[in-house]
Amino acid sequence: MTGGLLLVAALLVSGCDDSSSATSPSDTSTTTTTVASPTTTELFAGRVPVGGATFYSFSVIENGTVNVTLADVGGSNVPSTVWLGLGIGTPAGEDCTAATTINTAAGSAVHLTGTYAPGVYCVRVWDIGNLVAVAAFNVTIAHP
Amino acid sequence: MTARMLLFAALAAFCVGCGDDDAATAPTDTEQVFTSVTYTGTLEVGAARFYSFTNNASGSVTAFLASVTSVDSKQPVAVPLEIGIGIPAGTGCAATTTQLVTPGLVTQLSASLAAGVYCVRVADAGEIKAPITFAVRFVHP
Repeated sequence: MTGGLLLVAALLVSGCDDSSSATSPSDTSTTTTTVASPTTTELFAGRVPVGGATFYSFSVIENGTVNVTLADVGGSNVPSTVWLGLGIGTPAGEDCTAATTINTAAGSAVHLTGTYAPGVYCVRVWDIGNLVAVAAFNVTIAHP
Repeated sequence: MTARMLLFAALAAFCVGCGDDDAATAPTDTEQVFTSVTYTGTLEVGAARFYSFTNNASGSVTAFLASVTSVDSKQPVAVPLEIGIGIPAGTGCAATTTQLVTPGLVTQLSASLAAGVYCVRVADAGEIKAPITFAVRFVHP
């Protein structure tokens, strides 16, 4: 009888094994993130003082493409071909911390593009040392 | 009979011993980290200014107008200013919660916000007659 009890005890101990290890492996699923095309275009019409900067904030409502174009630059004593700094970033403090930047003249082609998650972003325009007078500019921001 | 009792006792011990170990772990506390910001600046008559910040987690944002002083005399000025919390939009801050307040060292404005980018706005509500210097203190997750 004692031998029978030992057998029962041995079976019980083996029954306490972690059942999770006995499960069959699950399939690995792949998550696909959709990249939406721009659905809204905002016009940032501003002025950059000599040595200064300005910025414009906008909200991306779904993961998608943001296109930024410095459409034109002008003003008294400001040639339309002057190069300015252009960037996309995040509003921080009293400025915009630009994470992606380019120095460029105005043109019709997209100057900055990227894929952005939903959130608040900003476009920053600044003098890179070329201005001798306040420059007026137009920037278009196309985003989801 | 004794052997049968021993078998039942062994089964009972088995049932107790095979419980879920996870339930026995002690709960872990999550302590939220807050950041305190003192935003100071000069405000012209009829103007507004704003300061953007990032909420790293959802939680309560609180703010108060700590001081208002005259730019010229450097003396405290007892005029109310509008303070607000909102979202940076365009060239400004679209405030969704606002209060007209005079300086005080208690919470004057509070908003429960998700993680993300927000702004604190300070504006003249038509009360100041000359440029002033302000200090707004706010705390966010």
